[in-house]
Parts: sequence; C-alpha cells; structure tokens
Amino acid sequence: MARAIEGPATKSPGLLARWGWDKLTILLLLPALAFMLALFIYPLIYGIVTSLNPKETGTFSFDNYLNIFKDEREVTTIWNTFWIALPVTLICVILAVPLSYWMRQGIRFERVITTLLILPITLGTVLVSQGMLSYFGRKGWFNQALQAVGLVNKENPLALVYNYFGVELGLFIQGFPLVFLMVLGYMSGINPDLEKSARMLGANKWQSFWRVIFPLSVPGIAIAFCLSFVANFSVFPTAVLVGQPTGATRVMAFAAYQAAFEKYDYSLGSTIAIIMAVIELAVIGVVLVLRSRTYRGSSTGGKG
Amino acid sequence: MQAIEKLELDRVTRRFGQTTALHEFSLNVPGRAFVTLLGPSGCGKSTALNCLAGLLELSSGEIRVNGQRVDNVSAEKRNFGMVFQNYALFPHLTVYKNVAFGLELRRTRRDIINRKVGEALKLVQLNGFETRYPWQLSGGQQQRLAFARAIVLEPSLLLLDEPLSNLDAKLRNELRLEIKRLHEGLKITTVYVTHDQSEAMSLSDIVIVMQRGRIEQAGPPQEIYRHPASLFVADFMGYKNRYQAEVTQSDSQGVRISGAGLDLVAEGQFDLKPGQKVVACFRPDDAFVTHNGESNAFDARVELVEYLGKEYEAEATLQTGDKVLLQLPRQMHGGENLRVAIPRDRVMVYADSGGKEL
Repeated sequence: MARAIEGPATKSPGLLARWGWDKLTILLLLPALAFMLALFIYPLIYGIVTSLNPKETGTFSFDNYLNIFKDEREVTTIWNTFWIALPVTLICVILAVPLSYWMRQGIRFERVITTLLILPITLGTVLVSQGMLSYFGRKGWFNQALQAVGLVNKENPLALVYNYFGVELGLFIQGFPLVFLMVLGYMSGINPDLEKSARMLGANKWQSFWRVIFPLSVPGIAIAFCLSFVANFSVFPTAVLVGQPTGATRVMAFAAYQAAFEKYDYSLGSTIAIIMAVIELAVIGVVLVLRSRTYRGSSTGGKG
Repeated sequence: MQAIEKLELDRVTRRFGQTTALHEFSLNVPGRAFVTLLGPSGCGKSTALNCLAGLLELSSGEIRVNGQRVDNVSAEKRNFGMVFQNYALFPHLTVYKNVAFGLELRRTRRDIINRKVGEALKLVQLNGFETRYPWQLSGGQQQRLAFARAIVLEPSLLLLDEPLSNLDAKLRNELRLEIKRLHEGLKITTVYVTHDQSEAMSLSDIVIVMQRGRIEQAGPPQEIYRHPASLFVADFMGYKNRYQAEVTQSDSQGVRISGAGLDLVAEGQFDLKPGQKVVACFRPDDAFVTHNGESNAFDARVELVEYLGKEYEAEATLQTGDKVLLQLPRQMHGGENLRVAIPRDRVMVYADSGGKEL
C-alpha cells in the first residue's frame, strides 16, 4: 500500500485499501473474525450441509425440506410456534409502550419496579417455570385464592399450566422485562422539550403521544419486537416445562430436539433449525422494511 | 385571538422540594411589550417562563391575562407560543408539517393551513424549504422555523427561552435583529429569557434582572444600564471596575468616596453616611483619557492592551496596584502612564455587604 502512494499511479491501490482498511485494521479484526468463523459461520455452514444430506440416503438432496412441508405434523408445529411467539411478543410490546411512556421521565419507586422486572431474567427459565407450576397449578396459590373469593369453582380450578396459556404466561414473564427496558431506554432518550413544544402548540397528552413520542419511538419498538420475537420463536424450555410439548405447544425447537436426540436424525434436526432461522430472518426483514418507512434519524431534536 | 392588554404575575412562587426557584415573583406587563428576564443560570428566569407557559405548576401565586386567571388553565389551552433553547423541532416532520402541527390539531381547513403556513414561512424567509426535514437546516434556519411554528398560531403571548444561545456570534446578531423586526411587525406581547446582557438591552422594552429567584431590578434597559440598583446588577451590566472604599462626604447631590487610592465624587441619590464602607464601580467605556486637570481623575499605568477594532481596551494599574480596565481611543503600550477621568454621574456606589451579593 505504501508503494501505491509513493510510486507512479500505474497500479491502483488494493480493494481493502480503497475501503480505507490498512494492515493494522485487518490485524485488529482477526480475533473477532476467527471468533465469528469458529462459533457462527462454521456451525451455520455445517448445519446447512448436514440438513442437505438426509440420514436415509446420505447423499445431497433437498428431501428433508420437502418432507417437512409434506408432513402435516411438522407444518402444524411451524404454525404452533408462530401462534406461540407472535401473540406474546405483541402483548409485550403493546404493554411496554404505554408503561415506558409513563415512566420515561422517571417516577417514584422506579428502581423498585425495575428490580422486580429484572428479577425473572436473573432467575432463569427453569426456576421461573418451576415457580409457575406451583403458583399457577391446579392446587396453586393463585387458584386457591380465586376459589377462596368464589371466583372459581372448587371442583374445577383454572388450567393455567401444562397448556398454551402456561407457555404464553411463562414467555411473558421472561420476555416482558427485556422489551420494556429496551423501549424505555429508547423513549427516555427522546428530548422532553419535544413533548413540551407539542403541548405549547395545543396538543393534549394523547395527541402529543400519538403525533410525537410514538412516531419517534418506532425504531426502538421495532428492534425490541424483533429481538423478543426471535427469542420467543426459538422457545424451548418454557414450552416443555409449563406447556404441552407433545400437542399444542410442540414448537420447532422441540421438534428439532426430538429429531436430533430422540430419533438421532441430525440431518432432520438441522433442517428444522435452518427453517426456524429463515422464518425468523423473514419476520425481522418485514419489520425492518416497515420501520424504514418511518422516520429513522435522531430523536433528540435540534442541535441542543 | 384576543390580544393581551395586561399580563400580571402576582407573587408567583415555585418550589422544587426544599429549594425555592421562584420567590413571590410579581410583574405587570403591558400589552405588546417586549419583556426580558435577565440573569445568570439558576436565577429562576426559566422557571418563571415555564410557569407562564403552564409547563410548570405554581406553588402559589396567580397569573392573570386581562384580569382573568390563567394559571389554572393547562399549557395547551393558553394559546401561548414558545420557542425553546434547542428549538424542539419535530425531527420526524418536514418543515411544512412542523409549522402545520398546531393548525392541524385545531382542525383548521386544509386551504387555510396552506395559506397560513406559507405566510409564516415567508415571514421567516423559509419559503421553498417546505419539504426539508429540520436536520437538513442550518442552526439559524432551525431557529427561524421554531419561530414560524410558534407565530403561525397567532399566540396572545410569545415566550422565548434563550433562543439565540445555540448560535455563533454573527448569526446571533443577525437573528436578534430579526426578532426585533418580527416583534415590531407582529406586536405580540413577548417574554424573553436570556443571560446575555446585550440581547436584553437591544430587544427589550422592560428588563427584569433576576437573582436567586427574586427580581433584583426591573425597568427600561436604559435605566438598568445607566443606574443599576445593586452591585449584582452593576456587575451584570459590565461595571467591571470595582473598588472597596469609604464615604468621606455625603449630601443630597451625591457622595465623595475614597479607596484604592482613588478620590471620586459620585452624583446621585445615595442613602449613605460618611464613614460607611462601600463598593464603588464604573464601566471601562465611561472613563476617558484626559490631559487637563479635570476633577474625578486618577493616574494609571498601562499593562496590557487589547485591540477591539473600534478602540483599544487596556488593563492598567492604579498607584496602589489595583487593576483598572479602560478603553483607549488610540494604541498605547505597556508601561505608559496616563491620566483618566470618570464623569461624576457614571460612578455607582453601593453599601458594602461583604461581597455577599455576588
């Protein structure tokens, strides 16, 4: 590269140099690249290759992919997963937005509320699921309390776990704090003067939310939605522990697990995993395209 | 919209927890006046403005417009316009949409919105920028857009919160003139907040100098400039030469003071007694170099000279070693001696409170 600068302009500088990369930059990137290759790129390619070599034949074919979409049970599993991931993600976002709006400038007991919300994340899925089983179970405190005040029949307590509802509840408890904290972080970064100026122009609280705060929060909400959706779409422990993994809450991650570790068909397991990834990427793509149609610049306003 | 004939703030107080940001702030503003709240940061001027706007609730006191209470009316219903220090333009809306925002909320007819937005943008010379976004505008243009957005609603009161402080010096002077021109044209009663003495002087009909949530002095800019009511105001108005002194003579015409090797006569009404400790001060540009044996004169020795374009500003020392700032009509050099006189009515004398006021 040094020669390209000193010498006559007969030889154009290399591609990397034209991108503004010098040797040091490349050297500094090496550890990260090696990390990416070893832990992401290689397993991904390995998974794709495995999925394209079905167990029965062992030769290259798309049979696994074709078979999955012919197998009614697997197609149902894909829809199941959607039906589990989408509602809880939407509910998280829809609740997080007004709550963040309310808390965006700090409120009393904010730290207590935040701690309460973060606690489920730190405890981990298994512990929360165990807790849910005893709390929301047929003889759990929740049912007992409802029975005590007469809201629920003694003989017929609410079935809140080991079903679809249990999974949604579990995912909500785990997922809501993250969505909320992300949206809150984004919203509290919006210049508070924007809202004041909306009020001075005659906007009531509702109007200043819909016309100013919400549109400016859309990028943050979209990211929170994407991350939450991906986490919920690849749910495994919650679906197994508080759900009904053989029926209504048989999710794709569980199907992949069954294929790989019960039937020892790694190829089929990889196929399901790849389909999961493609669906997740498609959903993220759609959300990001929608987001790009809204305003994406700074939300601070002005030069202040 | 009904124009303001009289705006009254009656003992408006605002507390934040233990601290009182605004203490029994009372003010009468005649309609169409341009009033400036002037003071250092933390003096309560922004609190006063936000109370007026309705963005802050009052702890006590009343605000009345034409005799009607408005402090219990919410900000969005007062029909006051406000320009924020950082402009607070809506970054997701175009120039046109920013200006149309308030009109759309009022469900104005589209053709009327178009006409009014066009007029407002023309008034601030932003016509042709309708489809741009705020971040595509320069600082000065953003500021003018903030103005257009406020005045398009024909507010009865215009509140300006340090609107020029984010601009560079040249632009600041240009826009200051523009604000003046807009106010002369529109005749909207205006309350302006700034910490910049020159902005306050050039724009206002009435200047309110504030300190620690209280009014230090209120009056026309000329009066505040020429006769600061306290040492604090004098300091703010550029009375940079300050000396501890003692009253030697006192009568109804004025006082004679002595200190720092100076023996000066100050004309005016002072409530001071001989022997009293005082602080005397005067502005560098009020002193002049003299060759005659004028009274109220003293000797000084030039130390440093700064060229300011029209004149030179010099730091000099008195015989006692005290510093004195002067303006010189011609270039001088360090070490030169000169005799300086100060008009009797340009020396301000205040009782010495031990420096507590500053």
